[in-house]
Amino acid sequence: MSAENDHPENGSEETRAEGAVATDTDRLVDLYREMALIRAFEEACQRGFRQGKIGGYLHVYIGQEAVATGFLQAFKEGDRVITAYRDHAHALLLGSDPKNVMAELYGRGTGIVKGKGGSMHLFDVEKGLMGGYGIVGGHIPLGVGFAYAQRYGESDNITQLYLGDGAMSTGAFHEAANLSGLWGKDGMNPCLFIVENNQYGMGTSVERTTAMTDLGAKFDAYGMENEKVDGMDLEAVIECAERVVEQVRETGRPYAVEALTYRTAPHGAADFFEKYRTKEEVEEWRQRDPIGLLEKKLLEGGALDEDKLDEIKGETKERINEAVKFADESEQPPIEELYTDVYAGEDEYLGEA
Amino acid sequence: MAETKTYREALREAMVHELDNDESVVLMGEDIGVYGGTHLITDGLIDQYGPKRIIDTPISEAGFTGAAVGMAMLGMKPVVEMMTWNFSFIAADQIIQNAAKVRYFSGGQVEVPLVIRGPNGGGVQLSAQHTHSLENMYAHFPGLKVVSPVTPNDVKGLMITAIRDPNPVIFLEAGALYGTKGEVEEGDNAVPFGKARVAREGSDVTLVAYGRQVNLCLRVADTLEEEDGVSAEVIDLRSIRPFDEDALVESVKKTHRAIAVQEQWRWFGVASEVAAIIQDRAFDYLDAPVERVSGAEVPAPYARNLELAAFPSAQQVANAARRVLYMEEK
Amino acid sequence: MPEVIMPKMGDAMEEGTLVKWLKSEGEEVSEGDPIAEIETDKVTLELEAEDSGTLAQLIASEGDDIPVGEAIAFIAGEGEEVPERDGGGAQAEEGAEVAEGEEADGGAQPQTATEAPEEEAAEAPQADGRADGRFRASPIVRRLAQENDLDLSKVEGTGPAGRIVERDVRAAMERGDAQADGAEAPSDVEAPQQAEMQGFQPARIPEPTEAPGTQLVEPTRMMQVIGERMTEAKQHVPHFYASVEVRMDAAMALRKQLNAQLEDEGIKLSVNDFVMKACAVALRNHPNLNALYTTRGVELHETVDMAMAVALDAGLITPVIRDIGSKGLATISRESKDLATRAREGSLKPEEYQGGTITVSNMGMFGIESFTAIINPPQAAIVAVSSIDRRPSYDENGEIVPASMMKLTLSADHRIANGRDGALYMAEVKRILENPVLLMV
Repeated sequence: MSAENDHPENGSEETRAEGAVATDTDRLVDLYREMALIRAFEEACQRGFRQGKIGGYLHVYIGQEAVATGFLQAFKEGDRVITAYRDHAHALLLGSDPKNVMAELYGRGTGIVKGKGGSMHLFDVEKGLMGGYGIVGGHIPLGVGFAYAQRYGESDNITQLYLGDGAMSTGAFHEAANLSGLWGKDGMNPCLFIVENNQYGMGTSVERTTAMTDLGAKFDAYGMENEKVDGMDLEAVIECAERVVEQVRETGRPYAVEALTYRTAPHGAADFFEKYRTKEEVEEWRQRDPIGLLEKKLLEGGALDEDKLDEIKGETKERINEAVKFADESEQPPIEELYTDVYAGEDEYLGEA
Repeated sequence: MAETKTYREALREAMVHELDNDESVVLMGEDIGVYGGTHLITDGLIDQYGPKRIIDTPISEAGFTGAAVGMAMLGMKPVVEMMTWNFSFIAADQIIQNAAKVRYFSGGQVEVPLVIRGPNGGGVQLSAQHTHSLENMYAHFPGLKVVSPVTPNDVKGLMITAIRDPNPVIFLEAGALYGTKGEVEEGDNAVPFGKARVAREGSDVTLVAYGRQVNLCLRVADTLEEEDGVSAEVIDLRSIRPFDEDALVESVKKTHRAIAVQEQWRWFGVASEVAAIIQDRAFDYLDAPVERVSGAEVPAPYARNLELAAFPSAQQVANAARRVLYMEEK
Repeated sequence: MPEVIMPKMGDAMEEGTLVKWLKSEGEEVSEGDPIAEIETDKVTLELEAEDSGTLAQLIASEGDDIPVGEAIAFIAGEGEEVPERDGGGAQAEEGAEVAEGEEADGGAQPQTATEAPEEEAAEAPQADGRADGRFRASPIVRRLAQENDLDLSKVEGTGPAGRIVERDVRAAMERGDAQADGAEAPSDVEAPQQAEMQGFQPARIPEPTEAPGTQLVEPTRMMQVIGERMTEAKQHVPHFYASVEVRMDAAMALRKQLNAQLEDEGIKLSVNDFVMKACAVALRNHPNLNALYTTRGVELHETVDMAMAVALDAGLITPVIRDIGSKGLATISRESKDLATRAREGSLKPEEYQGGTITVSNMGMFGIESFTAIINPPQAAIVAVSSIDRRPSYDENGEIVPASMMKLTLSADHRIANGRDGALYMAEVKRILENPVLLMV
């Protein structure tokens, strides 16, 4: 299947064309650099996992980089971001140090959440990242709550709420979307739902999970405006993001964007690739890899050349190597950390220490 | 200054006290605003505080409980009403997976100052799906605090403490007792968590309970005194997590015998925890095994006689006391 | 450095009150100097210094209740320093080091006298395996057994499957019949634990009603001790009773005659002196009533040490006339008056009110017609003496004549004596009093 053709009437071609005009090349080069860093980071994670340095679950963002990269271009200080467990890119894009993120994955005390959460639970509250969450759909009501609190506090901040296509079959999604639409009527819910439709919930395709495969249109049921965007096209995403974020900020009403994208990596660190999708399908999507597309465009337009590319790749590699080295050399969390952060306030551990 | 008030009035008074005190406090739940609350706890508050602070929600426990967790993470202090705790299973993922744990897995970067309150337990013929005592379930999870007040004064004082607590608090009200009266202190009577109350002093046997069962134990203590010359001490735990181990142990060191009474099912319940704590910390003071009196191991039935038989009775508790005193059962 | 401890002044004494310091901190004291006034449940007395030196530190304050065996002061010899009490002092630290590291040689402090018995008591049950689970016994029973060196094989369990439960072991302790063989009498340091046990209240006492017109009075220490001992006696000593009516005319006549003759010596014999002497003389033929019920059997006593009950304003005490059988009425009279006077003043010495072998309790002066008394354990018997009542009687010829009649009631321990013993004994007392010349024999 190919996602961008599912609902051609939504005009993703058109928004892409506009995006190309709206985004200047220097900025695109910078964003290319960011996406390359994310890609290199995720590949380093896969290596770390294979080496046994990273435990638990590992979900990488390879193939989806343009979505978060584009939407977070519209992020403003004080905004909040919440996502599920495929969360490394969001942390890096919000400015978390790759060293601390990698250290978290390595289970180190220098990790971004002190080695207590791992890959699925990256938080950088100061920078706006309200977390990665491990239960599909479970984080969605939280994001709606953030948005209410933002308006209750009379700020013009918004919440970017990322969810996957799989989450849209959960009860929590429907309950939260309903609430969001409802509260939005009073301007009390500046929440931007960003559906990262990577076509599969683990190994089950969208078609095999719902009879109504227009995920964006599902938000109609909750009185929420929505649209689709080509999530492989960074410029299209940026155009969409800047426009809808502005609207959400302005109105205090929620909005939903279905970003059509594709996870070219396995669901976890490894999965049974061929069982649920063909090599041909993966190959087809790789042709539309967001980094590849942008690279091609920048080379063709003369904004990048091979030397510059090598330079960027060299820098990226160096930063990731540093992060891995930092993580590898960091100490494990002190054992006393076992019992901290259970409760706020006295942080009492209510049991046997 | 203290005045006689109902449990319902005391509860409402606590929330009003904190609504007045702190702009970040909001109430939310099904039918709490315009309708006034199924149990009329919040009647009229929407007129006083407006719909932004007294939030009527659709029937979507997972949605609004999760939203409340999010609000709390950004510094609001939501007090969520579960119309009854039976509906909290829908929200259990939000309560357990998010509210209880997010502080920990965020490495301490967030707090969740959230109260979830509502009537717990049975006794009014609501049958299987509407009769649960969930204290053991929620108290099982580190990150949550669980309280279960029985007196009007405690329901007010513990609610004030719950709203001020920077952690998620499971506030289990004795639903069958909303209309009962008692002395309630005026103003700020915050009751600390983790402190049990000696509801009645005694020297021969300790009856340990919380919530509605405290009243049962008090009645049994009277019977034991009148009929058997036995002096029973009644401990009202008030707070299940944190748990006042010291008060329990101190009492048992005095009486050498204990009965733990709970409405919930026996297996894996609070009473089992009580028994474990006693054997752990007061073993050498025991003169008899700790007895548990619990609900029958069945889904709650409807018919009145069956329902009564499914909950601990005065006779069961009194006979348990007689057994641990090596006296004849009656 | 010598400690001054709260001394144990009687077998049932658990704590004493420090009434007053007679010396102040820093004052020089010599052995035998009174340093404090102590009040026990029975008496007020002066505590004497057992060492000479400087009264270095007064630990207790006036009015404090102090368990027996606890230090109330230190007497420092020349150059000695006062140890700190809360484990911070040099002595405590050295002790801790020795306990932790066995390699510490030579520096080991001798164990103080108060520590040693406790440890022995704790280890004893393990040594002979009695506490190793061979008996069904509740945890508190096992603990009590260990702390009090009891042999649980001697205790009958009344719980399910014969489980020995708290009430069984308490009863056994009160009867004193569960002591492990060779166990020493409880040492001073165990007194506080005993206090806890004796403070045990059987499950019958109601909460105060606090109704209007009621007043809650805390019992004095003496009343508590009396209450505990009497409860113990009444619950665990199987009492039986035997009453006789004694015609006292002859004894009264003799008393009048003797008092006239002894008036110059300032002696005035009381009826009670006659009764006590008669009770003593009668014991010659009934030695099993001059006995104590002990852990290992009934101890018969040759000499009669007669305890006499003396009513006090706030209690009761039983000073003892030693070897009363060998004493004449005049001596008995003099001693009984002296003991009664000093009992009321609170100045009896412990040895003056401990160790009786039988008791006489007289309520005749109050016009009581008859009463029964509770045995004073471990004694076998007590005789209750009522008033002399003048009333019509018959003489040998069937004529009605006035007679002075007095009732005596014996309470005796059925474990020691049987009804016949009591009856014969009371008949003998009656015979002697009605033929008072026998008192002189």
